[in-house]
Amino acid sequence: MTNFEKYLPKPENILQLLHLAQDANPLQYLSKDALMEVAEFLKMPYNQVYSVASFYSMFSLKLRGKFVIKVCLSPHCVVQGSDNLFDYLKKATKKMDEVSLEACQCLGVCGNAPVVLVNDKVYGNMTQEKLAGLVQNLKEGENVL
Amino acid sequence: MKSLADLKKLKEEVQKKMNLRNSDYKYKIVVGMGTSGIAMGAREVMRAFLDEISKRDVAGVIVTQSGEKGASSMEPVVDVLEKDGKVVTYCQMSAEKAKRVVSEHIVNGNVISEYLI
Amino acid sequence: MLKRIDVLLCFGSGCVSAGAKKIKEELQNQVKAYDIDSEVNIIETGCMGPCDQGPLMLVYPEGVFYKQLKPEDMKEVVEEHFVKGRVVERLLMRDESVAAKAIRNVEDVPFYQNQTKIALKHCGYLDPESLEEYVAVDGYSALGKVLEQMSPDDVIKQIQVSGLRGRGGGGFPTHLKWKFAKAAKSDDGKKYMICNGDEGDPGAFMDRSLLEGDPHKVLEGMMIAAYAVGACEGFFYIRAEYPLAIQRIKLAIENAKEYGLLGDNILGSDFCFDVEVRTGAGAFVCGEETALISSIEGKRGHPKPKPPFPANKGLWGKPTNINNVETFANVPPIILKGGEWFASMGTQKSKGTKVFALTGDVKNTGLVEVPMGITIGELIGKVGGGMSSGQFKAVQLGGPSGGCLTKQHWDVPIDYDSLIAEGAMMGSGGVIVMNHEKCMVNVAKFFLEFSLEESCGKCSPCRVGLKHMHNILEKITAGKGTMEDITELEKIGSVVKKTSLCGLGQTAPNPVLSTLKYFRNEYEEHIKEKKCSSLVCADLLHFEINKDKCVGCSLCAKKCPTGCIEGSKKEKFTILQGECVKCGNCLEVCPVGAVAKLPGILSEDEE
Repeated sequence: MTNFEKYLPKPENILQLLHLAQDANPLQYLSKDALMEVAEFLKMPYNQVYSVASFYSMFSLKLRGKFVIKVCLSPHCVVQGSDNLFDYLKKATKKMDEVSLEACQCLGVCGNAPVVLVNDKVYGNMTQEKLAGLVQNLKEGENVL
Repeated sequence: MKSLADLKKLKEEVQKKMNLRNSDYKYKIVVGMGTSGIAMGAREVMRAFLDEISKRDVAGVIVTQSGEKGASSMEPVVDVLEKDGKVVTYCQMSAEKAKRVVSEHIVNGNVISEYLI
Repeated sequence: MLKRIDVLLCFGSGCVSAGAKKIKEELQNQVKAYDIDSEVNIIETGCMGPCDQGPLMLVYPEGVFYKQLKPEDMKEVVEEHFVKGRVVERLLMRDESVAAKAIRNVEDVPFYQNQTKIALKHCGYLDPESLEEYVAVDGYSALGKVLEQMSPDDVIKQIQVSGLRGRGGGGFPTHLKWKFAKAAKSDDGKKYMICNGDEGDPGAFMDRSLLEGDPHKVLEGMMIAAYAVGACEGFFYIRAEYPLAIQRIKLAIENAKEYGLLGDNILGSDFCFDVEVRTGAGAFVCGEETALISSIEGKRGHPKPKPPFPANKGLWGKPTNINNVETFANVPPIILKGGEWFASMGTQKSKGTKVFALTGDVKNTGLVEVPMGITIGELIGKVGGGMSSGQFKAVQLGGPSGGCLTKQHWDVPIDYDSLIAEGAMMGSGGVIVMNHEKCMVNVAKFFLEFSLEESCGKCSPCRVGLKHMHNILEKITAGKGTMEDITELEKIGSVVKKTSLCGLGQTAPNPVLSTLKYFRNEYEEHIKEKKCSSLVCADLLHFEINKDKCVGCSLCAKKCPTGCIEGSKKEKFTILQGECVKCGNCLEVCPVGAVAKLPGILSEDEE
């Protein structure tokens, strides 16, 4: 049971509650149970909670790994080669259950493109070599470069 | 904070702490910290200035360092700059002399002529 | 003890992503090792601007600016500079124009010289986590002035004189927004003030930098606006992709509350204001004001038709005023220095300055603030320092809602109206400079892809129209386009623009329409000649081996994933075009440079 108590049970708090629920899950997603919990806390129909959760791209309704790698595929980063990095990561993390690879839109760190986000850590000026090091560290369970 | 006067008071207090950045000073003390300066005790002179000025809580003074001045026999050398560009250079400084510079020159505005080059 | 050195470390997201945290750790270690930790202030600041040069460090009182730092540089900086007073030359910026002369003082860095900073003035100079430092540079004095000397109408009047227009992209006059919200009647007297920090345009990061680097300024601007329209509750809506910005603004609010600058009877006046932070969850459309309101209410971020405008019926049906982060950051300086001062900068209809995020094939990338009306040429050539590689081909202004302009627009002034007249848009201020290697059809497709992805799907012109346009562009870049497709693109584009519900759809066709206007020959080349001269569209180019250069080493044949390279040491090698997947491996591995990437498709008989 996630601790929602710091928010009032008002419908306007739903996004914050969903963030909270997702962050509390080591698999970084919103399970059906989590959505039910939010619905119950807010006294809101389940389908309404589901409808909100499914609208926003940062909420995952599918199980994810311990590390969620997001590669920015907005114009700046692609111009600097982030699409190649994405392809590289696809291969490099294929057999790693602890990693979920996702594409994302601009993270606003364009001066340091290409940019890769791992959970809440932003890595700028990425290259394939740096990524190889990062993936190795992730294998050892550490989100550092 | 309950009024505009409180805000102004806070502003003046903090501004004092930020004069390294806004180069708003009355005196700038530059200690020559080249290799020979340090060998002759420039670090202690620097410390003495910082200590003495904090102790006396003198406002509007910044203390900073520069490289070699090329006058090895005169080291440690200290420049005291005024905002209008006036420069006084003291030589063969020591921690004790630094304290006197603070009390006489910085606080009271009297240049100590016996320390000059 | 008195400090003798202020070290400002850029802790904007850019420098943090480039390793600023490790720099700070090592700096702290070294300062301790040399026993001068009591003499040095280490301060984290917001974005200093030239992000590509990060991690950055600014050392006062000298104003020495160090770039591209590595943790192992810290020992030298501390020993040489901090202890011995000798600036570390190799870490300084260089002035390319004067035989790569090292620049000793931050004020002489060319990147800053052509800028005029109002919104960004203290970004990278102050500790954004210190309310006190903000107060030291006149922070909250504008609020004080407003509460003591000005009526709400006086405030609105000053904003009107200043000519400030919305910096989020629309360019709507700020004073009018405030006036409407002030005039609107609320049944229970409640009005809301919202700060739009849902900056989503790819390539724009000024709002993030402002929130990270000078949060109190944005908050102060918002409070002045709240006083002017009579709102006593406010919300910051910030996208969740900006965790540092969220953290800093939350801290700023907390500190302001502790000092009594938020809450009841602020600075002894009757003005009461309270503010909360709401985070988004990854939906570009929420940058649109009605969608943003839906999102704060806890719904799907769908836009609503206007009217009614938020000024009359906004958050929970109450009168609501929404301004962008940068707009608010301009308010305190306007109040302190007067509307006329602000209006003295810029063009007739676009006053003041604008922050741009300069990126792409330009030498100085990063965040710049320049007077409105600066020409495209000046922005790229002077502030940007010219091209970093290749020849200038196009500049994309305004992100997915903007357009591409060309060399012929070099002298066009950058202001809201001139840009719209040329088919681009100010947008939130993203500027991407492109060299001759970029394919404009592909660029247009790319931006459209973004809008398509982010379309909320509520109205059909946007949902269906953009998809259709995207399909056509896919066809053209694959070499299967027809000339009718161009007409079709223009037709659908104009319908989507006219009939979409919100700003997203109304502007999404711009990248396509503007490239059709200025780079039509490229579309035609893709269609008629099946050729992509920029060598970007894989289906419209081919690889060839020059037999005179080929030494027959067979490396290319070994690396070819489809085995379509044949030959021998004697005969040399050839690519069988029909099976080539254009991976480019052969080009990469050839030791003698015999493989070339060429525009167009080779037909079978040409082989």
